[in-house]
Amino acid sequence: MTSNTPDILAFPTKNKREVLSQAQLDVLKAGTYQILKDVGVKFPSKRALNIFSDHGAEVDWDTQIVKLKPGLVDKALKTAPRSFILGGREERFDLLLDGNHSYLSTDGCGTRVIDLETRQERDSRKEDVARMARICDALPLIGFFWPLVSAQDHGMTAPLHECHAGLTNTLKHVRGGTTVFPELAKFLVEMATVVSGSDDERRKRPPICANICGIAPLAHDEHGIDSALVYAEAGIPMSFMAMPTMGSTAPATPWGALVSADAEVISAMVLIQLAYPGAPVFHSIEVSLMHPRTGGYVTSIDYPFGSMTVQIGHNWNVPVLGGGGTSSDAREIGWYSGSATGMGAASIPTGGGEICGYLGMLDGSMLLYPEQIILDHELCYEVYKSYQAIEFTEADLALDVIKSVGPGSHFLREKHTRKHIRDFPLSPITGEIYLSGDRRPSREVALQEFNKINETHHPEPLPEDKLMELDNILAAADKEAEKLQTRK
Amino acid sequence: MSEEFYKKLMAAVVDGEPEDAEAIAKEALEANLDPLECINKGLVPGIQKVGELFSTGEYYLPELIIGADAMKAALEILEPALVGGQKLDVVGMVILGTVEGDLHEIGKTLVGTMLTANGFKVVDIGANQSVEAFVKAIKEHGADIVGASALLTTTMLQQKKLVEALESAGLKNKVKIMVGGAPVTDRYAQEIGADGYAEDAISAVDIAFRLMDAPV
Repeated sequence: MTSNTPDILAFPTKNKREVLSQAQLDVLKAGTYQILKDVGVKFPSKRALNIFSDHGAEVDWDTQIVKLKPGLVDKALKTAPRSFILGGREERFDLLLDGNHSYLSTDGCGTRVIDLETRQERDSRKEDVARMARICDALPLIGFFWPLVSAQDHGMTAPLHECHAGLTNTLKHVRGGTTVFPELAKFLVEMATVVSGSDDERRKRPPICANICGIAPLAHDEHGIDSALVYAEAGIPMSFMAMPTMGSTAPATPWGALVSADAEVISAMVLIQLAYPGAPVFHSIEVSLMHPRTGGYVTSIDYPFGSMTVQIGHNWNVPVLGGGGTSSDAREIGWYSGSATGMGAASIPTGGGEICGYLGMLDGSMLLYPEQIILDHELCYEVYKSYQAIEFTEADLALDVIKSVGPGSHFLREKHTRKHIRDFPLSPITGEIYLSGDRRPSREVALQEFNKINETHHPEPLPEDKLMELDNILAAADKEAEKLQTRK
Repeated sequence: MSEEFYKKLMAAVVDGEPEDAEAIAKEALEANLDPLECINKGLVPGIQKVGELFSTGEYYLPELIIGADAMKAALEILEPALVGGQKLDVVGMVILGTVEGDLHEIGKTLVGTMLTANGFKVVDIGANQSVEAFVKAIKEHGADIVGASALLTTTMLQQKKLVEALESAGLKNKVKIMVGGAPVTDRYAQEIGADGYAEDAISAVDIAFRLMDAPV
């Protein structure tokens, strides 16, 4: 059965901009090798340290710092696949990470929401994740659903509930796993298995992937790394994301920040490949800047980090989460957020990352305005259209119509006009403005579109038995979380 | 049988087929149908449907124009056949034109189409029309409203001249003056003494209705 969810639109990557030369990439890679060999990376996980030790890495058991020689790095990364599939509920929603397509993701994971009813700011809840999953299910450019906000009404198992809200409200791939207690990570794998139907199918077309953030500079989180090993064993793909902040957790130069972040990401990928050769991993670096006066987190930086991080990841021959993105530090919808979205959308085709875009959030990915996802999607769609291949024949020149109308008249009465006037379908936002005859603020129209989708779009639900199984898994996870809390 | 003709006339307008509309009108007369009934039960519901489809966003301007063309083609056959005291029920008589020195037509044509679709009788005198030509047409057709379009900053001054000419001719209190065009504003319309300004064809209809309701 085919659901009413529209097919996913992916950007081609043939317009990828090579910001860095191969010589520059080689310099960066050499720097990463040097950091891994001489400085090392902290892995506060016994299991990880044992794996490294078993494979001949230099492990300092007191400081938990692991040093890796280039030979070991290369040997490990040789098994990392260049391309793999992130599965959707149906095959038409599968994302093939092979360097030829850029799929857009939502942004995540924030904590504050502008309430749809009261329009007041409040803490995010699971219902917000579920609603956004449903909205994104209807937006064709969104291929990858990253829960935009946290299910804060579910405490320690919030990530599991976010995953559940995603899997039960969209047919698209869900970024379901993140850093949790490793004892809870297994429940995420179980949820993926239920949706896939079997272990084999989950490995072939995993319906969820995970994101594991490092702790800059050059350290990993114990739970993050242990969870990553659980995911890797189950064939759940995962991105390792370094988030260096120039001036505080990274050198205050792009190059210093990038090389330090790269070493952090590569160290984790080496671990996963040593433990589970061939496990699907992807590379991600998100650079920010420390506000020089407040110490705050600044993500809007006028520098082509998106393109550079994609090139750095691809230089290791793995897919990349990164590239062009619409996310910004704007706190409200207005000129600043609009310009950031526009500039970000325009950089998606030149970025060339496999997963990118980060639609729907403001204030450094922390604040969700419902209508923002519609506005972001709209601008991305404009860019998407402008990058489509242009083809026409002589017949398309309409010379006969031009001759028939002649100089000084108009084409409004022509059948040709009636036939083709809809060739440029007006978007719900600009079309609404146009058809209504007045000029309503785009934001107002976007909110109307959001409400329309919210009321009318209901993706094909999972079968009842699977829904029950997922509920049982969540209940078991909640119990396990209680135990963990008591132990803590 | 008559119902079938009304339906066909309505469909010709809704589908935007002027040739069909003309042919059906001729057939209706040959079948001895009442031309006024054909208009009121076939063409008027047809153009109303077109307006409705336009307002809901399903139809675009080309469908609106060609629908009005279809109605006009049938009216040209049916109207001369009206007998005795039969008269078309119109909201008002409108003279439309583009001012002297200005060859732009489309905006004014769209306004005419929209007014026609809303029950006005419109006489379009064309582009590049002198003040004298406007005055002559107003007198000749006993217009309720005159609409003058200007697309250039240099030709919009002609709209002011038209207002002055109507004052001189003693027509200012007999005919309402609407102005429009890209450089024209509501403020300018008020400054020159016009009665109404419309930004586009849709709002022109609202203004025209308001002017018809206004005391002369």
